[in-house]
Amino acid sequence: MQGNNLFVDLTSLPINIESALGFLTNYNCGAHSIFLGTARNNNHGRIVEALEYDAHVELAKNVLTNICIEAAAGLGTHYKIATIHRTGKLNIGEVSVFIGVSTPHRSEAFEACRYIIEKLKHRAPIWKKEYYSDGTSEWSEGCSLCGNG
Amino acid sequence: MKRDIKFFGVFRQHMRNASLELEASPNMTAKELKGEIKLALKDVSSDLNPNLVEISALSTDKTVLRDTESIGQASTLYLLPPVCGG
Repeated sequence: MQGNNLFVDLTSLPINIESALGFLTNYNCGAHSIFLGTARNNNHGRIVEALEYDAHVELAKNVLTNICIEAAAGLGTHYKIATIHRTGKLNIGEVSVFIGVSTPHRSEAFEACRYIIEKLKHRAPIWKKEYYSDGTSEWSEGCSLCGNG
Repeated sequence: MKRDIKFFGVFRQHMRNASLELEASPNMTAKELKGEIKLALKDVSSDLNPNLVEISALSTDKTVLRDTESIGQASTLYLLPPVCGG
């Protein structure tokens, strides 16, 4: 989903950081806050070798767009927001989520970026599975969407 | 009215990517349909935690349904376990 100010996507391909940064370019904006989530090699003392993300893609795009619109409330006309989440299997170190916010000044860029990642974790219909070094795998526990309708 | 129930995350794994067909009227609430799904899943997968259905949400393609909300006319509904993106 792409408008003049918002870009939201889920992709099974590696996230193209350069392209996302290009979307965020706006000469009215002097602050660019970027959050990158990456696949970590451990969790609760276990060695993680890979991650896999499942998603309800169409609904997730709607939810993420709504979250970005909420984050943009009060930002005025000069801002850009890009939110991109991976699906499928990821190797350790790969980027799982990219959130970028461009605004005229830094405080609102930091605030909007933080808002988006926190709400994404609680509301976006996306699920993570961890593959461990002992050959087992588990879906991570998460946040119930009951009551978030 | 027949409903196709599709699954994600841990449910998708237990269902081996299959969906579930259930009869449900438009004024049935999401919570009531989840009760039917919970019963149906008992037969499909004995090692799935049955309480997981209760803390999961139903959705359409466009929106997440509150437990008290009627499921309406959507022919396909999705069972969403607790989310864990990022």
